[in-house]
Amino acid sequence: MAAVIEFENVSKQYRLGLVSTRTLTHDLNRWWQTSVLHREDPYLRIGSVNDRTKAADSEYVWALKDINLSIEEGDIVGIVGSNGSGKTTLLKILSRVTGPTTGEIRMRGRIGSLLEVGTGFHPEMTGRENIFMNGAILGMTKADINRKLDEIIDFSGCTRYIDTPVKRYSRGMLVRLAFSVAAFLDPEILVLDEVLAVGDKEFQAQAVAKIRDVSLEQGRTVLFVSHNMDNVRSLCKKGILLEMGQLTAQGDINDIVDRYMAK
Amino acid sequence: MADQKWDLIIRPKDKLLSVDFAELWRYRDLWSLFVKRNIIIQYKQTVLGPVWYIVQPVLTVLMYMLVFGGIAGIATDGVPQPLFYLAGTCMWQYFSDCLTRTSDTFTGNAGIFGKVYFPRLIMPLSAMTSNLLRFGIQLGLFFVVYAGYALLAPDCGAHLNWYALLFPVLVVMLAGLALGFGTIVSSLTTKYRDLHVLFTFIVSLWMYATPIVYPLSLTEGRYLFGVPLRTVMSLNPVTPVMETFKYGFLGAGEFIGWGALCYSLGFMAVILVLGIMVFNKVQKNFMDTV
Repeated sequence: MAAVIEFENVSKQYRLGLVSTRTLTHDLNRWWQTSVLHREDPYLRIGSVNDRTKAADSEYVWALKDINLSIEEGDIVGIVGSNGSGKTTLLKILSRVTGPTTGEIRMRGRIGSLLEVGTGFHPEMTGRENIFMNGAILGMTKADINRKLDEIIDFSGCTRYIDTPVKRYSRGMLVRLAFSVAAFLDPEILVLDEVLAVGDKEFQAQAVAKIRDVSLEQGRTVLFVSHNMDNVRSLCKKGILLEMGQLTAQGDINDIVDRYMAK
Repeated sequence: MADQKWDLIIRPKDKLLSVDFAELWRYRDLWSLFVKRNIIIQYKQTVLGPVWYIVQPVLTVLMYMLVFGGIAGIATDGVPQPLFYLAGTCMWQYFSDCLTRTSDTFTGNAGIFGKVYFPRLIMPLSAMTSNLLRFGIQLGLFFVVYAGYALLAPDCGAHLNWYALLFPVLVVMLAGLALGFGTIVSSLTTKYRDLHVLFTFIVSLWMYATPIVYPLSLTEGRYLFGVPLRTVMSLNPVTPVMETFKYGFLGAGEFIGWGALCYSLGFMAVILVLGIMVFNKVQKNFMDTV
C-alpha cells in the first residue's frame, strides 16, 4: 500500500499569554536575527513540552513536537488523546488552516476536512442555499452539488425544512445538514474532528455507516478525532495516540484505545 | 522520494510573490456564491432593500450642496453642483467600500478561515464584486440626473467627451488601489490591532485629500509649507482617477494628463505587489495571532 500522507518532523509552536509590546519586541528581535544577521530563529530553540496542567516556564510551547507519521491509502485512522494534546492542531495543519512551524507534510489527493459542522452556514439563508455555500467552501463546484442535491437532502432527513432559514433549525438538525454535505464531498482524504458528538442515536449510526462505506467501498482515507471510544473502535482499524504534543504510540486501534484508557 | 508524486506539500513558508490563479479559478463557484450571499444578506429584513443604495448618495449630495456649495461657497468648475458632487460621491463610495471590506478580510472572517481552507483572496475579491452592484445602481442615479439636466437645461455647463471611455480603466484602478491598500491593512491588523483603530479615521480624512467636494483647479496658486498645493494633492493616487472621471463625463476642469494617470497606475501596481507579498506572508499563520 502506498502512503497518501506523510508527516516529517512536523512541529507547531505557540506563544502563551497576550499579544503585547513584549510580542512586538520578540517579533523585532526575530526579524533582526533571521533577516539581518541570517541566524536561526532564537525562539525556536526554547519552548516547553505541552503539559496543560503545569505552570509554564517559558513563553513558548510546542503544541506538536517532531511528528513523524505515514498514513496509507484506505486507512481509517483514529486519533486519540486527552484535551489539549494536539489532536486538533494536527488536523488544522493538515487542512491548511494554519501552517507548521517546522517540518513538512506531503499528501496525495483532494482533502476534505470537517473541523466543525456547518462552516460558513449563514443563519439568514435557507437550508438549500446553505448546502451550496457550505459545499463550495469545502471545495465542491455548483455542478457537483446540483448533481448530489437530492441525495444530500435525503440523507440529512431535513426535507421539510429545506427552504426555511437555518436560524430556525435546531442544533441537531444543523449538524445533520452539515454532515450530509460533507458526506457527499467525495474527497480522497476525509478529515473529521468530533463531528459526531451532536445528533441523535439514529443519525450517529447513519453517519458511522456512511464513513465506513466511504472508506471501505470507495477506498478513501479517513482521519478521525473523537472522544467516543466506542465510535473510534468500531470505525477505525489503526490509531495514533498523542500525549502532550508528542506522538507516543501508533498501531492497531484496540491497543491504542487500551493504552489511552489505562492512563 | 520524488516531489512529483505528491499533489500537495505543506511547508512552514511559501513563496512570497505568487498568486495561484488556477486555484482561484477552481473556486470560482465559491466566489459567485459569496457575491450572492453579500447581496442577499444586505437586503434581509429591510422593506426598501436596494432603494437604500440611492437614498444615501442623495442625502450626501444635498448635504454637500448645503455645506460646501452653499455655506463655504466652493466652486464646482462651472458644472451644476448636484452632478459634480454625485460624480465624486459615487466613485469615492466604491473605493472606500472596497477598501474597508478588504481591510477586514482576516479579522472579519477568522471564524471561517479557522475551520477550512480555500484561497483567502476569494473574500476580498467577492466583496469587490458585490460592491460593483451598489456602484452600478448609484451610477444609474448619476446618469438619470445627468439626463434630466441634458433635457431641461442643456446649457448647464456639463458635457460628455471622449475621455469618458477611460471609465473601465478608472474602475479597475480604484479596485486595484483598494485591494492593495486593504490587504496591507488587513495583514498588519491581524496581530496588532492598533492600525485598525486608526484606519476608519484615515479613510474619512482621505476623502478630503481627494477632489470630491472641491475641484482640483481650486488648488492652483496655493501653497502648503512653501510647496505648491497642487503637487501635494497629486501625490494622492486617487486624485487623477477622480479628476479624469469628472472631466470625461462632465467636462469639469481640464484633463489631468497621461503622466498623472500613469502615476496612479504605477502606484496601483506597486501597492498590489506589496499587498500580495504581505498577504501571502500573513495568511498561513494568521489564525494563531488573530
